[in-house]
Amino acid sequence: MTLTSDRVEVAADPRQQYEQAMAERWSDGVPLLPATDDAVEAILAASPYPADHALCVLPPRNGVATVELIAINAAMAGVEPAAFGVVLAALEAMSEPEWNAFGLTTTTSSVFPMLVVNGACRDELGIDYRASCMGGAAGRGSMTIGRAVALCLRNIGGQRAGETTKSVFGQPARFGFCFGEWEERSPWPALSVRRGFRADQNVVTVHGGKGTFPLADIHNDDPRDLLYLIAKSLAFPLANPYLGNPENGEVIVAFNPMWAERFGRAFPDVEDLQRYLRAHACQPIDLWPAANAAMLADRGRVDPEGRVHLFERPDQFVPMVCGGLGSLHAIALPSFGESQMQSKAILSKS
Amino acid sequence: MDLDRVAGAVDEVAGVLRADGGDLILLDANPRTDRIHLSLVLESVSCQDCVLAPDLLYETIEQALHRHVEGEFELVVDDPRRANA
Amino acid sequence: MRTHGVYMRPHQSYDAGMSDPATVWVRRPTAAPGGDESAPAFRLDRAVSGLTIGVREDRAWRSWQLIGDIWSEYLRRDGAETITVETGAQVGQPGSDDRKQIDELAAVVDAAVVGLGTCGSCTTFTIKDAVALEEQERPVVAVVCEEFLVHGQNVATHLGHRDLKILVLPYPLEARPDDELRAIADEYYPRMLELLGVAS
Repeated sequence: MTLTSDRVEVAADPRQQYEQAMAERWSDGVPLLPATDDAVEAILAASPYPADHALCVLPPRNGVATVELIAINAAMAGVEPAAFGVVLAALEAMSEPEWNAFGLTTTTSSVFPMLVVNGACRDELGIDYRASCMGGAAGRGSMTIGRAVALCLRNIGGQRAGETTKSVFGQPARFGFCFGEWEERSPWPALSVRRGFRADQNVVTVHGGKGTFPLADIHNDDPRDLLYLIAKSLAFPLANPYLGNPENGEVIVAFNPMWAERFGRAFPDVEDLQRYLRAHACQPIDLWPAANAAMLADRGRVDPEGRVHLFERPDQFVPMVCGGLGSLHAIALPSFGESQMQSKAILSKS
Repeated sequence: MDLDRVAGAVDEVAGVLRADGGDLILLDANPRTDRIHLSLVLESVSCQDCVLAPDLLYETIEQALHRHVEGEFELVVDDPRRANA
Repeated sequence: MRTHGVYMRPHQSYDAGMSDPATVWVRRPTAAPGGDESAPAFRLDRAVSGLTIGVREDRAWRSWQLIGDIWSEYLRRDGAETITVETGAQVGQPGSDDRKQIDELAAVVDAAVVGLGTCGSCTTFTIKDAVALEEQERPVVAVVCEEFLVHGQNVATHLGHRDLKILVLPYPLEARPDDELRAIADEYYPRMLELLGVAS
């Protein structure tokens, strides 16, 4: 296998390597593994595409992401060769125009790609979907795949805080964010199946998420009451869809398995649950001060009952199941708005 | 979820129940869902009052499982006394 | 201790047999930025009288709507016709409708003013829409607030339009009273005409 990217001689000592990676601005602030030829070639050997294949162009600096360059960043993040297909599929998903990578990588918002994985590869690759799946569970797949995608944006796309990306706060997911759905505990078809894939396929869905927004309750066991409160919480008055278009964007609502079971009994058809969320994710126009209320009214956002809905359609609410068995939490991953989540099948070398 | 460890923990509690003529049966322990489903058998119990009350028995089983099984699990116990309540 | 410059030896010939045991060879993870070439920019080189000038406003920015409207009024005073379009979306059907609107604008105007870049993604789309007009060989000015100038220049460069004309307005514009915004509109109108290449 012939690699064509630049060779660089670095110190063998890991601490010195760390300093050098920081000086070269290859690093996200955390030590990286050396992208030696052996490591890169092992990853490329598992790639469904040849090394010189230009998979996509990554904004904001429009760097051409060849499979070899992606493999180098994956090697630095510690991605196992078997997991490389997830990185490739995620980048392909992010390259779909409707994901709006150019907007997402440059916005002042805190948005960043959040990867949701379905399929048997969750267990094979160590993609977390049970307790602490959004951080802390320490699955190798979750941590390295998410970080590899983030490094590709940094090193190939040229995303640099305050320079090419104007994100005011950033967010922890900028280190990488990848988790799975606990399909076996879901009362509904898996997210990937609802998005048109077969149940036996490995699929990654990339969501432009603004962060993790926690929701909790211990006082109400009625599933409809609880969902009503979740819907109201999603429609917080400074949510992005109240700034822009209610037709665009989604919010992922991740339920713990115990709540999911409860909701599944009340709403065996997930589309009924989505309709219920859409109907109640609204606020009375009186909630907003005059300036905001005037703007919402001007844009035709107020319905005949004087309510302002968060989103236009039920399918913009994306329920899924993951997390531990503590039956008192849900978590929302709100959207930046001007982005539509994309899913891709994870390919492996045939 | 280590199924042998689950069986060992269930057996530990079942042993106590068997002394009074009762039993605890492992219906299912699913590592895909982390759910452990047990059934309490009381038909042949000689001394009903000797069996721990439902909540206390549930806690005892749960503690026994936690001593043997790593990580989180959901415990479901079919207790006929609850069904009759 | 920083070791950069001591061990870092890029672009040297690779000979594994000769490598120093205190070093290892790795592959560089970065890509060259896009935008090596620059598409031509265009100038009016005449007065605006008798021309049709497009003004692209943004639903998000009230301040820019006011400035855009004032400039449209001044352009009409100077003998031009104006067409104002308002965008507000980047994806989905509303985004497609907005981009279609820009394409249609490009087909009927002689020049255009496109704003406003005063956030990350809205600067990106201001530049993208301005580039769409420039690709139709229309003189165009992208209007960007000072805080987002470098970002706007980067986007233009990486889209292959390094020479795109960018007018820089003060930042922030939002939350200023209308009389201040009117004063800014008055102050920057001549510079906007200059960047369009308007000859008196």
